[in-house]
Formats: sequence, C-alpha cells, structure tokens
Amino acid sequence: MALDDVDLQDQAVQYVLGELAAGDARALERKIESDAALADEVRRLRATLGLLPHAVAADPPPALRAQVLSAAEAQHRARRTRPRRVVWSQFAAAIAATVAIAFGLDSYRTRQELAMQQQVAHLLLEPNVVRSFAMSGGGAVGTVALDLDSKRGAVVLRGARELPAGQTYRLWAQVADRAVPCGDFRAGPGGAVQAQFAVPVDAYTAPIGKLFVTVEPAGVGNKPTGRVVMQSV
Amino acid sequence: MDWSNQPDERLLEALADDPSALAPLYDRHARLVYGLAMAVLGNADEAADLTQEVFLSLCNVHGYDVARGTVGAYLTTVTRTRAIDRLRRRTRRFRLLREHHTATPVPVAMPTPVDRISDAECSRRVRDALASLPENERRALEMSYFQGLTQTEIAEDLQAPLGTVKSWCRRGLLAMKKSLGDLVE
Repeated sequence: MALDDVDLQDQAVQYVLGELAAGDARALERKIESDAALADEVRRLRATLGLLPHAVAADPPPALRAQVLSAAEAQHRARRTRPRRVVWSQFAAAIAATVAIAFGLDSYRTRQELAMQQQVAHLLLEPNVVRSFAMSGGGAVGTVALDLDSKRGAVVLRGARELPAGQTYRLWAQVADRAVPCGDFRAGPGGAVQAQFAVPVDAYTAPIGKLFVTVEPAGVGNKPTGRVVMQSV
Repeated sequence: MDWSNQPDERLLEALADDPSALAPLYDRHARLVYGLAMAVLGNADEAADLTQEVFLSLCNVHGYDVARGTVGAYLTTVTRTRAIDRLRRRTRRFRLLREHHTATPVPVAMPTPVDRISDAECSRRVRDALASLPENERRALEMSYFQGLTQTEIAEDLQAPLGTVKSWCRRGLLAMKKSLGDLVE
C-alpha cells in the first residue's frame, strides 16, 4: 500500500537514511507503531537500501578463499587449546544475533523519552548486536550503547555532576550476581559526558541485568565501592 | 562432512565445532562481501582484509535468530558498518558519537524474491535501477550508502544546497524502490 502523506513519506526516507535527529526519529517510531502503512513503507525503503550491495558484487581474489578458510581453521584450533569457558556465547545468545548496525547513540532529555526508547528498541528495527541502555539518576540522563560485535561501548550523558579531582564515574554491568567494570569517565563542563570504552564481552557470562554507575576513586577497581548515582531504566 | 547443501543457518550453527562449514558460506556470499568492501574502501588489499575479517567473525556468531534476517543481509550490514568505520578512521571523519539516529538497512525477516532469483540477475536488476537514476540522485545515494556520508557532508562535497541533496536522496531512493518493487515485497 502506498503512503499518501508526502511529508510522512519524506520523513520515512530521511529516517531510513539515518538523517533524522533523535527526537524526530523517535516521534516517527511512535507513528510506525500504530500506522501499518508507514511501517510497511519503512520496511520497503530499508529493503531497497539493503539491495544496493548487489550492484557492486565482485569476484574476490582467487587466493582469498583458501586464506580465509585457513585462518578459520587456525582460529578454531587456538580456541580449542584455551580453557573452555561459557562466556560470550551465552550472553550473545540472549541479545546478539543477525544484524549489526552502524554504531549510533542518541541523547534523551526527558524520562518520557527514556521510557519510550525501551519500548521501541525491540520493536523497531534496532538490531540486537548493538544493545543500548537508557540511563538516569542524580539529575543526569543519557544512553549507554554496547556494540557487542566490535566490542566497543560508548556513553553519552547530560546533567552529570562534575566530580572532584581523584574521583571518577565507573560504569558497571550487572551480570548474574556480580558487577563487571565497563569503563571510567568524567563529566565535562555543563555535565556533559561523551566517552568510549572497550566492552569486556568475555566477562559477560550471563545476560546483562542492568547497567549502573558509581563514583569511585580514580584507578583500578574491580568491585564497586562507591554509591550508585545512575542506572539503566 | 559435506556441508555444501546445508542452509546458511545450519552452517552457522556448525561453525562452532567445524570451521569447514565456512566454505559454503564463503562460496555463497563472498562476491557480495568483497564487492561491498571494495566499493566502500576502494582498495583491493583492504577489501580482501575486511572480507576475511567478516567471514572469521561468523565463527563467533552464536544464537543466530533467523527471524531477524538472512545471513546474507547480516553479512552485508556487518561489512558496510566495518568498511565505513575503516573509511572514517582513514579520512578522519570518524564521528562515533553523533547526535543522529543511525538507521542502517535491516533485512526483512522472511525470504524475499531476492532469494528466488539468481545472484547475477539480482545484481543486474539493482545495477540497472541505479543506472537509470539521474546522475545527481545516483551519486547522492551512493555517497550516502557506500561512504556513509551525511547529507550535509554530501552537500559540502558536491557544493550543492542541503535541501537539494535531500531531494536527490529522496527521489533516488523512491525511484529505486519503485524499480525494484517486486524484490522488496
């Protein structure tokens, strides 16, 4: 079914091309939830974009096949010689799967938007190799995104209190009954935080229950000692 | 074991125990992965390196959810993401933390006509559809998809007004959707 509303179709195109600002994208996602024609239009537009790689399909160098298969064998052998752990696979089975995404973050100003993000994350089209968490607490709001494919994470916050020297915010993932440190960050002027960190996916032996942030003394620490100032909602 | 007749999803499961299951996956999808990597990176060595990286990453994919898309769609999405990531690092345009909603193509869950026509036929159809676009529309769409540029960046590169670039992208994508309608139903 064609979409009659030209403005809405224009928004759908911009959305699929990743050109809508966060607020506009979320507003459109709300419409998608209740508008079957719009949802179908977005699906077709995405599928059309998804066909573009077929235009550039090309034969790889003949030697590459043997090289890839040899590397896969070597990787497999190396894995078998290491102690067997039930780690990434279990975690990934719960949340990672078929679609990777360009790594994007949104910032949210209101709790309503935070709640909405939770509602739409699994409905919309947000692939589950990237896991995003809305964070809130102590007047700060924002998003943590974990790219489990490339093992990177990033945090974007607003309204975080600036800490005295010698202290740092530390992000933790609650995995079963233990807290796994994910990364440290500090708030800049105006309480803005933008930081990246390596995601220790091997430490995730179970699905992440929640993320939370504590204030810790700067330096290495494997267990939270400070108070929780923020957590995923 | 001869894996050559097994479906992609079964091969992915088998990879945990038998890396030889990668061979048919490579045979089925390498042209798409390598071609996309080459289109984004424009360098044969880098494209080959990324192709290897992408296929090796399949060995670490667990809990594959068929309902979320085909293996081919997964591979092209991973390839595009990583290729653009490399391109941005190379061109110092890396904007990891941008305040945009990033929306990449998500494959449809169910088999589509793409699965029922040959790869060669599909490639021809998409190439023809692209070629039939006016030059500016095709270029803007390719810069958006294959280089990961925002419309603002495209406008700067092409020295065109942003509104014009938006129109090119919109008209181009809608025309492609119309041309390839039977493949995206």
